[in-house]
Amino acid sequence: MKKLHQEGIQIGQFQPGVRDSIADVEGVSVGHVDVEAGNTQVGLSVVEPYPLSEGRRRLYIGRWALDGGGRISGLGVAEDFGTFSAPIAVVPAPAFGRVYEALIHQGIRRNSGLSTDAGWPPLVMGMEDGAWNDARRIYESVRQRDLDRALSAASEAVLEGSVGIGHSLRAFGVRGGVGSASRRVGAQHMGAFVAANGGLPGDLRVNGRAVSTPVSTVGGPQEFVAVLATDAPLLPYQLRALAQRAALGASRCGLWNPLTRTAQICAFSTAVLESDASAAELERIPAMDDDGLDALFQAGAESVEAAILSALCEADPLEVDGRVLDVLDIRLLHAARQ
Amino acid sequence: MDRRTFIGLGLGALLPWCAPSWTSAKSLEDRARARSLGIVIGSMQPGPFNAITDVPGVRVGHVTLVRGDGPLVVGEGPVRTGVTAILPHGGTLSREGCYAADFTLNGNGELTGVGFVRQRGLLAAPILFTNTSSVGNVYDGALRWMMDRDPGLFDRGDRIEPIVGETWGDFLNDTAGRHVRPEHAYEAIEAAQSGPVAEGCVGGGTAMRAFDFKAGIGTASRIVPCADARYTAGVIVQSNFGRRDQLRVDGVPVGREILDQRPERGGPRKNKSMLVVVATDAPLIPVQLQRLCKRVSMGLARTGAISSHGSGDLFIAFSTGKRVVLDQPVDAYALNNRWISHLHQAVIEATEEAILNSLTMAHSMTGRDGNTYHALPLDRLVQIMRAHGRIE
Repeated sequence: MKKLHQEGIQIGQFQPGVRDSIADVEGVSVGHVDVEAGNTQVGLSVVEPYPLSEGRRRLYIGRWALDGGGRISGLGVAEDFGTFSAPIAVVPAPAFGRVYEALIHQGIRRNSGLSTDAGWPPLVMGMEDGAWNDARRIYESVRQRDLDRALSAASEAVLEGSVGIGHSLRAFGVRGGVGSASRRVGAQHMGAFVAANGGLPGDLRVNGRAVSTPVSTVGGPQEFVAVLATDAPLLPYQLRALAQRAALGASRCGLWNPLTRTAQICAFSTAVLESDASAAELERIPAMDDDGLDALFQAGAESVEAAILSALCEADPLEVDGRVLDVLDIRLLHAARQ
Repeated sequence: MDRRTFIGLGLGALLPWCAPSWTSAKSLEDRARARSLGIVIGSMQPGPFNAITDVPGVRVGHVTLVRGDGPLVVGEGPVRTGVTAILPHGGTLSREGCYAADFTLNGNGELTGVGFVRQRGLLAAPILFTNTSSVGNVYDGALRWMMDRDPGLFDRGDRIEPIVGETWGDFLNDTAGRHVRPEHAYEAIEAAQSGPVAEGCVGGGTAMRAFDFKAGIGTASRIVPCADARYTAGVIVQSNFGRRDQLRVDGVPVGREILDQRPERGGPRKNKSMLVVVATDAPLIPVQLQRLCKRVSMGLARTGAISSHGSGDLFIAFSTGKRVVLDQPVDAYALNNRWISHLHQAVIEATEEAILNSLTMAHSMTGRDGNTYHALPLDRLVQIMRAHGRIE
């Protein structure tokens, strides 16, 4: 059971799905891998939008980023066509090229006849963890096989806290991590996966109440990544709007401040498949009118907010070379029960 | 060295005519730049090299990988690929940037690193062109080069990363074999220099085609008089797009008059793409550079391109006119917009001419499974241009 649930913390007005994770959106799974790199805390995480065994699908996606920044590949297709096909890999920035190469290789193995098409373009999101980790060591340590391991490990039981990319994250002066949450909106589902990173000590808010955190590290690199999935049939422009609104969830819990340098959110829908194979002149596209979006926007923001708090709750303390990176004291959350 | 094996490392800039030893002598001797054939695009004057390197400080390097012949054996070859590196200035790239902007005409391509460009309005990294399956390795090698020169790259939170673009060259190359290694990107950056730029079947353009002729890398420049100053605008392209009947040269429908010399063997070729870098020493801020970037589309259109659905037409422009040292106060100034139309014209003319050079400088090439792209026959090109009154 999630620690956030154990503590009786509820965020927002919508109810979570069965798993309270992004995997409540059918077909979506998450995999993590930890990378051996001496004292450096390294790992990477992948969100698989559909089971890779089912071959290639093309889904709609929308992306929003603070100032348009952030390390990301596959942007040309994602922005101009509003589609993607690849697993979304969230990785330490020095490993960006190597993971991209691994995804190309993975796509070729999935469908050698189509060569790079099966996994193209790779969707890699790179995160920087600054002076906490040794960038050169990350660069030397992450191997292509680590991506394969993360893909193989993908599961509907989404691990949270200090796993995968969560290893190297810091938030509010304590250890950050990866987190996930979901919301039900009628028969539809909204799920978030976050790499919770950023926020200054003293900024944390849970249901509007300040929660103090020990200051065990200097401010993090103020960099945040989230992936949203929904089974609601949204078109790319609607998904971009969803990503923008979901960003407010990160603001609500105080993860963002005016100094936040980089934040990017990708939102995708599993409901609409663009077909390569169909020769039909017209393709039917199930779509929602904009009036139905408000509840989904709300659910997206709530999912992101809950996923960030869950990441903090599930993180483990860390000691490296005598430096201790503490975690959030969960007992302090009691005051924030609603 | 096996006479069927050739690996040219950065020879491009030194030996513009340099080409693989297995190519027949005939196909080499008749290659020439469009302007030397008498084809004059537009009304503005080119710089001394008629290349992007006419913009002071801009350097270009190629690593060309050509190895093996015969049937495709994934992982072995035949290999027809490479890397082209474009460096905006000679300083420490990750500490000193140039104002920059990017523009997507059609998105079916990859250009990494534009997040930083859009957020900070700066280019502070090398730009590299390669083939589609090699983006990861090229990024990896370029990042190592940057870390070697700036060990604190990841300590300052600048989020600088290499700009890597690609086009699809599957018809001649063992694309799935992923033969470009990180070291090749490193070598291409190290090989970058000023002066004449090798064109045609070199670097990232090695396996590419345009209008169903062999193509690849092309470059051109224009001198831009603005009040009392003379600025330069330069363009470099990696051409890989276009149907034969679309090709126009200075408005002449050349493609409709050369219907033979079609690619031999293989199925239909998809994923047409076009990478373009624009450089200028005119001091421009990002919003002005974005406008220049859009004008690339017009140069592209003059060659007959339609930017088809499968195309990744991705452009980036930078200005060396004002060096921005990161984390230091900026003393920004910019060209008065009263003069910017001259730069628009320069970019359009240079783009059109660079694409033509990518065709006229490329020699015929045979690659995997004996697949062949023929070079645009220059004697016929000249005849057609003469018949249309464009060449005396």
